[in-house]
Amino acid sequence: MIVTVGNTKGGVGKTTMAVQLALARALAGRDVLVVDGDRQGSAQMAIAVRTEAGRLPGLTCVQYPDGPVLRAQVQRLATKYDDVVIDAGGRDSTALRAALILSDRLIVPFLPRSVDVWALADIAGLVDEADAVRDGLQAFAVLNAADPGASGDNAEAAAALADFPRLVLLDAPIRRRKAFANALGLGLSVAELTPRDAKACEELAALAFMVFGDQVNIKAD
Amino acid sequence: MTINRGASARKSIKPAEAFIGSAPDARRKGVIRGRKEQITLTIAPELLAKVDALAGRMGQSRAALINRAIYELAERVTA
Repeated sequence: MIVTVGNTKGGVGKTTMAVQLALARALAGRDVLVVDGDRQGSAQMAIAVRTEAGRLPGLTCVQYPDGPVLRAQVQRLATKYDDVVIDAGGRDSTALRAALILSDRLIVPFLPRSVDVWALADIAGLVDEADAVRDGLQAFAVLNAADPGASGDNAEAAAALADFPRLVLLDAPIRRRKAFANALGLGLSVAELTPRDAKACEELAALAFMVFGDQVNIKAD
Repeated sequence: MTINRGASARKSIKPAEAFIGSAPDARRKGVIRGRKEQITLTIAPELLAKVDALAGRMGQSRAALINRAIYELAERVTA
């Protein structure tokens, strides 16, 4: 399956989520390719840290910030891997658009903040444009760095998704936890991090199940 | 059967390329004049004097001579 973690808005935790999802699959025994579609190359850096540490299972990572190159190369590479996770966006880019053409599923992380909710219109618009060019893209949004506990902001942000019917809410929020950032810096899954953050592990497992599972649990409101 | 009415056939490759090429980072930053792109070139005054003298002898403009020199070098190097 080809999954893109993407958003035209920056700072929503795309790279952290993409690498964590890729590692969750790798730890489940899948051969995973990570495609870094960002010139900054943070995903590639995190995976390089993992590789240098000799940590297994390994992840293969390639960086294609140029959309046409990403499209051509990932089309060739996708058949050689069980799963492909593309980290793309931060702005409207050729890489993000190429990823929207290629992917089976788009996961849009967003924060429970007004500016993030406003920015959903941009990525929803791009999904609409992609729909005019291809069939079958499944587009989901998921709360990232959500407030701890039962937060009114989390619920309001989730409810605001109703304005964008093309983005289906995945009811597997990732909360704001240092474990995710720390794990990324070490090229590790939160499941490999010590001391272990059990809640972070549970959240990631729930998200990975929904993203890669055959049956995606769609929250019915 | 040669008739394919599938949706995937209607949505061909070219619209996908146009969609990807519509992103802001796909646009060229340079100034296009006709079929050529304008660039800024700094050059030593002595070398520029030689270029101008040669262009004058060959009855060519400065730009035409520089273009020709680069073309010939590129052809030679890549041959």
